[in-house]
Amino acid sequence: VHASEIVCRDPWIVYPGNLQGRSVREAGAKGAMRVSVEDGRIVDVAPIALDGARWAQVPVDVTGVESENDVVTRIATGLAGAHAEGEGRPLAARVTLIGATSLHNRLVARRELLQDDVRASGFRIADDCWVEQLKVKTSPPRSPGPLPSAESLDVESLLAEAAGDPRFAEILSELIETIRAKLPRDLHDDLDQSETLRALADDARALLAGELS
Amino acid sequence: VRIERLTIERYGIFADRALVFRPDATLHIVHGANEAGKTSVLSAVGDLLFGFNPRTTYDFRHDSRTLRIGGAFRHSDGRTIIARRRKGMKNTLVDAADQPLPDDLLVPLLNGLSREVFSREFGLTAEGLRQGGHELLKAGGRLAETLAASSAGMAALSQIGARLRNEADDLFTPRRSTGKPFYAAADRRDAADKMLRDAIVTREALQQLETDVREARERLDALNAEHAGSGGMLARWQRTLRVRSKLARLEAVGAELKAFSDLPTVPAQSVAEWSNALDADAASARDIAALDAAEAADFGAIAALAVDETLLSEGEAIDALRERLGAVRKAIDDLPRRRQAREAAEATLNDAARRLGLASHGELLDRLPTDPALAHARDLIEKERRAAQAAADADARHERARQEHDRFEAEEGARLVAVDPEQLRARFEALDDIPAQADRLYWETAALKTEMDSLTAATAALDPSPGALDGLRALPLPDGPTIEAHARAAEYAEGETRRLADALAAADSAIAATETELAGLSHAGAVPTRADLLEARRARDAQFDGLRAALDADHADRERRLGDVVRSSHAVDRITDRLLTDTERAARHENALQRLAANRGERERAAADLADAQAKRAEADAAWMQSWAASGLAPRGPAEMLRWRARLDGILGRLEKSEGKKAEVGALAARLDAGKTAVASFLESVGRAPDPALPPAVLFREAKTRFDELQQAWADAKARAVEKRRIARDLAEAEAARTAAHAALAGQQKIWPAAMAAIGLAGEATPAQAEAALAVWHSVAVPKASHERESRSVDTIEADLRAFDHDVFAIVERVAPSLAGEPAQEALARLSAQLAAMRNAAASRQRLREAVAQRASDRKALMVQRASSATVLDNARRSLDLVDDAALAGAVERLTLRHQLETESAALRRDLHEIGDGRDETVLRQEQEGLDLDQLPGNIEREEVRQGQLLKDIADASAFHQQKRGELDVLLKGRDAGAAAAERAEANAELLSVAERWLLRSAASKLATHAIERHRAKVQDPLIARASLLFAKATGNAFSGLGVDYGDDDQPMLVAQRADGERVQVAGLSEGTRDQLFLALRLALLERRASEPMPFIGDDLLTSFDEDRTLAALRLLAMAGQKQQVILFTHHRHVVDLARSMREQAIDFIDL
Repeated sequence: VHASEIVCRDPWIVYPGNLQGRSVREAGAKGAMRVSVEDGRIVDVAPIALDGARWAQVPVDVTGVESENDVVTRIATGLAGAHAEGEGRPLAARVTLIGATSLHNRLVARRELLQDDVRASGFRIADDCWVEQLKVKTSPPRSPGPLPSAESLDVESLLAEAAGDPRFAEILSELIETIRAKLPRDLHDDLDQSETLRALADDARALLAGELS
Repeated sequence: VRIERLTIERYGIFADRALVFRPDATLHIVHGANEAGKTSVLSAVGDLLFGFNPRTTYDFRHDSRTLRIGGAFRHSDGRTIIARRRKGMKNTLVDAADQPLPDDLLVPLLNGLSREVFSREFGLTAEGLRQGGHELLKAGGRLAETLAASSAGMAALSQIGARLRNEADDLFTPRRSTGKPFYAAADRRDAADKMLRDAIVTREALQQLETDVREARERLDALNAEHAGSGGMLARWQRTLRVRSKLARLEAVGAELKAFSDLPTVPAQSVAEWSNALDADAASARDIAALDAAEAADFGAIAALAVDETLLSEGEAIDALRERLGAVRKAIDDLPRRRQAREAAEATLNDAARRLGLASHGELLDRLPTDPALAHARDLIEKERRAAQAAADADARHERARQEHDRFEAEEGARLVAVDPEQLRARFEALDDIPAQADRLYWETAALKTEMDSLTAATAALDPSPGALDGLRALPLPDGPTIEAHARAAEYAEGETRRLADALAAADSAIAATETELAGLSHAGAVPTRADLLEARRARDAQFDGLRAALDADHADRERRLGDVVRSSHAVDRITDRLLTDTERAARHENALQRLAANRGERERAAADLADAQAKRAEADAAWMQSWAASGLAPRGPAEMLRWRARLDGILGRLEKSEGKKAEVGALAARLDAGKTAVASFLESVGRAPDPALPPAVLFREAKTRFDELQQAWADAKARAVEKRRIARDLAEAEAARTAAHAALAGQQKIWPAAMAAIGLAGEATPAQAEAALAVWHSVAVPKASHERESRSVDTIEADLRAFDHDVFAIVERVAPSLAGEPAQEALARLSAQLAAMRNAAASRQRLREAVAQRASDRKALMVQRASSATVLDNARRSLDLVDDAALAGAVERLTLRHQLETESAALRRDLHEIGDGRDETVLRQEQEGLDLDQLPGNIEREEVRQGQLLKDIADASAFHQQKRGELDVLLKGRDAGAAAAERAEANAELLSVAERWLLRSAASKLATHAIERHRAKVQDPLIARASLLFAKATGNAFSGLGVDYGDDDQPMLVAQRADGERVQVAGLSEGTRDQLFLALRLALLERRASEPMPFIGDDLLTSFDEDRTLAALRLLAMAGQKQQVILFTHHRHVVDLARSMREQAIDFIDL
């Protein structure tokens, strides 16, 4: 019932939704539905934005981008667009990087520093343009050919092998159990559904590769 | 891959520089001093393999577009790849003609290796080596980490893993710690949770709170009322205490006033006026009496004072004289000194007069010349002296020039006339090569003779002897090729004969051997053949047919036929057995027979060939002898004669050269003879008689000496001519200078007498006399000024003193004739003293007179006052109906007392009104009734304590009431459940975020450890085996190798094994040995790579090693170089020298 929706027009079934988005899961304009009645009949139902502040999901495609500066520039462009859509309202945005890029490893390794940069660039757009979080859901580009597996000096391939090792999957399970035991019970589901968990092995490998490069 | 050649065409400081790496070397040492471009070469290798850095710094000498480096690489499969690299974006690989080569040309060499990995793993510096040794120590011997530490990439991975583990631990640890962000977020969430639970409102809670508020209000009101009652009572008690004394005094005043009721009513103002008039009258009477007494005393004092008015009238003149007294005393002091100074100046002037020959200073001052006259005289003296000096100098110079001229003239007369040798020069130079020719003739004649002797000896040594040297060239001998053909034929025939004889002998022995073998085989009995077997089988089959036909016959027949079958079957078996056993013998027998036949055929062919060859040889020998018949020599064998002919040809060649030489010597001797004649004629022409018996070289030397003499004489003559001209010029110049100087001197002497007269000297005075007089005149100026100044001072002082005495004596005569005859100063002092005393007396008299006048005026005022007081007192007496002043005074006093009491009573009433809170006297007296005034202060104190307590109770009750009201308001407004929920959601998000960050870092850290462990498992055994060998080599076999031990926690640990078997942990190794271990592990690891081996490049790797370690490391590198190319760059000469001392290694030295 938090989401605004016109389910059916005959008969009218309308959810006006929340007056104000409460978290990043409730992104976009929020408000009421204006119902126009003529001669006892509903002739129009139109949404009116009444929210005081706005949440936004800003996906930024960085496919083929090769420099971190370009990434920040693209994010700034996305943020500026989202802020303009809010018509002057304070904006809280979650930026998600997607696409295949050679920067993948570095982005994973430097996510928190990059998040600080992106926050700063948000504040450059406007005082009330706040970046809630920066998510990195990029992927590495298709490698041009199979790596020589016997190459004992190639740290990246060694990491890839180790990450694919079933024994490493067990280690990860132990890690997840360790932290789950300390989390409140009602957060277990959130943890299980987290993107981080699904991509943990890949991200760990990307993080190390990024730090090494 | 091996680098075979590196061509640095244009790069950094280099231009067209090629470095060639010997392909068979196990270690290349590239030596270059500092600045030789070692770093450039290292960079060039990288740029060639991987392309130029876009921002290269090696274009400072050549334009970046023209930069070129090239190289030849040999792949391990034998291919050679040659390429050049230019700077640019694409097609940067080019061939020798700068035409683009495919970009993937080097891919087979690099196999996906990046420049970073290449320089990280295959390049090593001394610093990297040291760092590596340190990493090994840090790994603590744990095998996985030790092996990781030997690879730069794995070492970095290990460090990153450790850092991430620390970061993860900072975020979260399973053990609770409030400082960690995870637990801080958990605490926030718990707090928000609690807030949310508390935010629920129930009806009972609301009612309860409303009741609480009402009860609190009621209690507060009751306390306030009690406090008010207590306050009223306390106020009345305190008022009673305050007014008690005033009331009592009011009562007493009332009683006293009753005693004055007999007095009439008089206004208070009149009473005061009368009382004042009484007091004033009495005081005025007393003052008048005192004034009269003082006046009588003053008149007495005035009469006693005596004043001299004449003296007082001269007071100002006497004061003026006293003021002049200071100046007079100073003048008296100064006068003797001034007189002395005047006399000293006079004496000095007298002395000057004497020095100038004048009578006194008076005459001196009269004749004192003016300053311009003195300056003119001084200038003239200087000019006169300079002119006289110039004339003397010119005379001396003229004398010197004249003497030099005379001396030169005298020498010149004795000299001979010289001849110009230039016309002889051409003739003499034509003789120049005579000494060289003579020398050459001598040496060449000697060489020719030696050569001829040697040839004669060589000819005599030939066998057979070809006769004398002279006839040698005419001998008709067969030429070299003919002899050689004979020699080849003879050698071939000889070889063929021997070969055929050998073949014959071999065939004979083979026949004999085969026959022996055949005989041996025959001894063993008849050999069964396959035909025998077929025959036996046929017989047995016939027997079987017979038996089949007789199967129906009688028993005996069957028996017999069966017996036949059995026998023939046995026969077949026997033959088969023998065939089986004799198969080998049969084969050998057959074989031997065949060989025998073949050998016999062979022998016959060999015998025929031999006979043929011998016939041919006899023919050849005959032809050989025939070819030598013409020369009459008896030849030896062709081979020998071939060598003979070669030596003879050598002698003939030398003989020919000697003939040529002989002709040259003859020509040379003829030229020399002609030269000798020319020299002799030259000598005659220059006045010498040559001795014809002397050799040409000696004659030439004589001619040369004579020619040099002539040249020298000519040069001397030319120099003297120049000298003569200079002397004549000097003499003329000196003459002119002398004339000019004397003229100037005469000019000076003309104006001299006038100038001397101006300074008081005679015209014939010398410059020295004039100078002395000038000095005296100069000394006169100072004493003259001094004399004039001092004379003026003395005159002025004497006049001043006389005027003073005159003024003093005039006053004395007027006012004190008794002092006449005293000195002026004394008289003035006495006068001054008298004047001071007189002035004091006059001042006293004046003061007394003023006092008298003042008193008269005071007395007049007092009399007026008494008159006005008498009027007031008369009025009072009339009002009170009294007759005398004494009764009036008593009545006025009582009236005044009554008035005071009335005033006090009014003031008391006013005060009571104020302190009794506006209540009147009667009310206040009523309030006092029934109270025990003595106990009242105690009661008040107790009541005040009770009041304090009440106030505190009221404050508490009020606060409680406010609190309850607040709680009720909060409850009515509702609790902020939304904020609590938002806080909880935020805390949850934070928790999840921290958990995810922790997971990522922990996972990455674990992954690093896991990868390092897998790396160990993958490379451990072969790697340690190889590193073991390298390490043993590197330590000069002090260690026999490496091993793996297991630690307390079953972790595999790397240990080094000493030659005596002792096992040493990594931490127990010395720093240098650890560095060697690192190097061994690194090189072994590089060998483990599956792809194409790359060159290992050490950059000044061994700088920190001493000699032994450097040697060991060089051995290690050379050993590793057997499997992969190893290049060591160094700028230390001693490393090169040490490497050169290792003779057993194939080391390639390259100088930059």
